[in-house]
Amino acid sequence: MMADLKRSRATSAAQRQPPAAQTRSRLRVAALLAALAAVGVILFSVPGMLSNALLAIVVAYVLNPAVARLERRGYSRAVAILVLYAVLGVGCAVIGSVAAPAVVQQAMELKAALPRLQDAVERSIGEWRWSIADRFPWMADLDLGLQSLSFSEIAGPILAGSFSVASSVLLILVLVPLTAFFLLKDAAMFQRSMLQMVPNRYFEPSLALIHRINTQLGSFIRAKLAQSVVVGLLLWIGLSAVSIDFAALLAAFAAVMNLIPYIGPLIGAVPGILVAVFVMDTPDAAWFGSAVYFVAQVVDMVFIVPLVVARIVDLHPLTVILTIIAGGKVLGVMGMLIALPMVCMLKSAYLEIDAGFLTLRR
Amino acid sequence: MSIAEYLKALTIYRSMDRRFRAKTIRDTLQGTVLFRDLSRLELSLVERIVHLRHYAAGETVFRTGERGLGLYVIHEGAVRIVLDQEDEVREVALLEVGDFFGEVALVEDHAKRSATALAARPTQLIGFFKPDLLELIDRKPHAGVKIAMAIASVLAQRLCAGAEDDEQQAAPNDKGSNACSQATGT
Repeated sequence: MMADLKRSRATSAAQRQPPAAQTRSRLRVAALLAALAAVGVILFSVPGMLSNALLAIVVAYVLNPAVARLERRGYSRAVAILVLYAVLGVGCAVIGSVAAPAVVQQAMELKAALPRLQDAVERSIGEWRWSIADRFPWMADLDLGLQSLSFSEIAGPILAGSFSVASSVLLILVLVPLTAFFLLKDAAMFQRSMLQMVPNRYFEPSLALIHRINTQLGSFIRAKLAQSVVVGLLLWIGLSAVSIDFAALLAAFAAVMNLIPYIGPLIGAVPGILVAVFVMDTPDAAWFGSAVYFVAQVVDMVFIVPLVVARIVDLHPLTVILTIIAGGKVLGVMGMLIALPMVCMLKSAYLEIDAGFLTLRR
Repeated sequence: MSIAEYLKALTIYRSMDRRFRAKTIRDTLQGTVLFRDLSRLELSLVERIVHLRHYAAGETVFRTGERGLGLYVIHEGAVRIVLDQEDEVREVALLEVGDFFGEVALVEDHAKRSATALAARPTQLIGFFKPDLLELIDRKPHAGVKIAMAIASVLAQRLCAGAEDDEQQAAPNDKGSNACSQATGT
């Protein structure tokens, strides 16, 4: 009995936080929330800031292991980043000088071929419409949206989007590396400053949470980019081998789309098959082109996804599909790209909160 | 002023400076066995990685059963370590400046704290956590390995001390046994 009473007194004394600590804790929470709100307002209110920040974060995550490797060789962090930037700059310049003329030439050819492609696609859509109406007359009364379907309506926004992206490329080329440089150099300091504002009680679980999200997000971004690069290279080689026009451009587009799981590869294959069917004018080209896309996807699914991506993502396929659909509805293509990493982060947060914050005793 | 006089003055200035200036995080770290072997450059890197936390008198640092992530070195003030188990609550140690605690959590996955730590008076603690150690091992493996070895050494000593205590309790009259040498010998 006495032992219980003694224990109860000691425990309550041990668990009651002094008023000074409580006040400081509340002030820290207020400061942290204010800082997070300020960052959110700046990111969402300044045009282009969010996409630049996201790109810079991706670049920083991709380069971080290389910077750490250089640090292991004895360079300071700033020097390591500068050395890496110099090497990458030279590399990009060399690759650009070799690949740029081919890409520019293909882009000009695609621009010249676009009216022909447009005519061919619109003619085919018209033929399909008549064929459907002929075979299934009852469908002619249904408004499926096909009556108003035209290539320019479908492709117009995509092309306009592409040109607006191209116009901001210069801005991105300057801002993203600069932001990524400071993220690489000072992200740990920013993180420590934010953690300074976390009350003592929640400090360790918060640190564990940030570490887990950091590790998982970094691995995810690096794995997805590696997957895209491999698929892009396979497609470039394959499409060039079967003599499909614009192979480099089509492979680059498919590589970017491949970042979106399940749906992305299908979207990525559409331009290639359209080009093979309507521009090449040879029946074999469509089959060969489709086969190349199919083989690239088989290689991706059999070798790259199980080895690289699946271990990191660890989400049910249905969850992934629903996540991508929801992301696409909210933010379009950008939403489809960032939805999965966001859900991975939320899952990590849930697991960490379950393991860390919930063990805190009141 | 000759060179000898200049050097003598410099030595006196440095000794006075060391004696009267406020104790820095580096001073505290250098005073603990965990960071003692680090070079000046490595210490400055650790100094940039660790977290300085301020606690009011009586404030809890962590409680028994909570998940732990790393160790704390006392920079200023003092910390009471309280054993808070099913059948008893008792203070087992009062730690002072330069002491450290919670090091098991640095090496064990999903470690649970085995005691409660409370600030005995207004206290500043230097937190060094698993993510910090992993970052250090990734970026500067030489420094990371030195710290990891020091932690391993501390844990081995505590293991030996614990085993010796157990042996003493089991056979109080047996003076010949030496768990530490047996443990380290295997």
